[in-house]
Amino acid sequence: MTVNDQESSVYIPIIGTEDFAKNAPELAINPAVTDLSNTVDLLHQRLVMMQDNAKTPVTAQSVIAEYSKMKRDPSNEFLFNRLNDTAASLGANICNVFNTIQYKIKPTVDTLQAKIEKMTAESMNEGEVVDDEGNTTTEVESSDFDKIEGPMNGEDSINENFKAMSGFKADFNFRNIYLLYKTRRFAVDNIDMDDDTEKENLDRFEAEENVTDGDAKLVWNLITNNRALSAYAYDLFADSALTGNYVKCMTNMSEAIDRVYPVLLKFQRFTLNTSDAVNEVFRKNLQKVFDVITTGAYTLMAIKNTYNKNNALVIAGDSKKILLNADVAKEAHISNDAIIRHMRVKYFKDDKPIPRNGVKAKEVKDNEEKEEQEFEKDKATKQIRTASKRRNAMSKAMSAVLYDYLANTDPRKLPKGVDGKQFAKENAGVIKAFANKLEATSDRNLQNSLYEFVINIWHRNTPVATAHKLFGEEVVKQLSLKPSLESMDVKMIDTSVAVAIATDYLVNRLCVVK
Amino acid sequence: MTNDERKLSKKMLTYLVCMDIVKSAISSVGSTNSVSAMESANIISEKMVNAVNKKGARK
Repeated sequence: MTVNDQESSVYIPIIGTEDFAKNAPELAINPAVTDLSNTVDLLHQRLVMMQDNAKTPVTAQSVIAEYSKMKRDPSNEFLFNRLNDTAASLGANICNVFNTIQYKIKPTVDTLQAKIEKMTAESMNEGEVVDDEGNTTTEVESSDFDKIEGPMNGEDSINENFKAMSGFKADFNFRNIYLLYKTRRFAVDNIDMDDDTEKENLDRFEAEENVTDGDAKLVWNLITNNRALSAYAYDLFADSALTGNYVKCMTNMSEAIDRVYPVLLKFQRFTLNTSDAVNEVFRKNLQKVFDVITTGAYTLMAIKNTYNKNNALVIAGDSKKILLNADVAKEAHISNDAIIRHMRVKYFKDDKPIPRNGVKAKEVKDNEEKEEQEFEKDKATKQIRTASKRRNAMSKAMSAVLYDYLANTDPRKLPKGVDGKQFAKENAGVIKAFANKLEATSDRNLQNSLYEFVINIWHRNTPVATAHKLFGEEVVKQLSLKPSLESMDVKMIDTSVAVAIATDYLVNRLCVVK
Repeated sequence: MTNDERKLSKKMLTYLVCMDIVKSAISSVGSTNSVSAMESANIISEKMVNAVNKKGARK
């Protein structure tokens, strides 16, 4: 677009008023800028001539109308070409300022910001995610007993199988479970097979049944190695039955159902390439491993029964993850927030262990109201404390990252005879000032601080610095009118800033105000 | 044309020329193209007057 193309009619509602003409300060083109000044003078002479010929009184609107006519007259082209040259040169400078901010400063600021935020997060809590009150974010999960019961045909089937296999009543007695383990009921016999035959059978099993080498060997070891099966049974259920470490059984049974049980089923339909006698021992041993899994599943049912009898809502967990009893959680109607709050206050804060039989829903419910009130009371204080801690951490991270940034400056950008480290040292005061200001001012924004820092180092007292200041002012102005900015608002801000740079330049460099 | 009218016309013309230069200059900044002519003119007018007043106040 050139000056010639301008549609002057858009100015009529603004400038074409008598008020504007009367009240606007006198603005004259600086005689020092000869070309522009002469152009305006020549345009003016023609305008006066036209007005004299028309013999009409001069009004703002008539000046605009005559000006439009002059622009359309080809004989004035050389005059407007001068104005076009001025506009083009000014436009190129504005573009350069915008490009510097967008393509040079912004990527630098983005990189610095990401480094500072990462370092801040790490120093705040060694990588843990914390909320506004400085607490580690806690996940809440529900126990999944169905996952175990499903593949083993439900709770009734598990209990029946246990009764048939052990001879005990299925009364969820943990002592009986441990006794069963101690009777060596699960001892397997030795399988007489040389290494080559074993390898040949395992390779064939893996290929025919599509089982990984790791899973096949894990289960084969349980079938053929008495010590391995005994240790496995201890971890799967005996330890839990003896010590009350129920979570261990839950975790190990979950893995057994995923990895061991499906492979056992595949071994059940597999015939070893060996003698009938060895195959018979293999079948007996295989059943022992099934019995171990059945006892594990039965132990889990006993654990579930214990939790439900105790109306336990929380059965395990720490400050990162809480495990709920799904059966009780469904009935209790207590929010996760209330559960997390209770567990933090009563258990995690002082590293108090969760009771073996779980935390009752009643305990959480009885304390819910009181804890919520206390939580709300402490919230503001905690938020302020955490924000202050975060600002301090961010200020330290900012100092370190900015020092490193300057120390690694491209040598071509540095003054002669100065290396990166010296340059960083020379600017240590500036870094400190920016970092201190970030820490001291609660609403100071990191990104904006970094823009100011980079501009202060590389673009001080340049149109880039002016443009950045104007962008900030325009954004604040727009945000005072609406809660968030849309793409059209951003374009309006760009326009405002570009116009402000251009008008400042024209008024301050090319024009005089009378 | 009276002397006052001459003065007024020169003043108006100077504003118009400056506004046209600014409009033309900012058209090279990509994002300003989608702003309507009227909105641009409003912004230019406001900023021009602000800049002139600011400079006038400094004198």
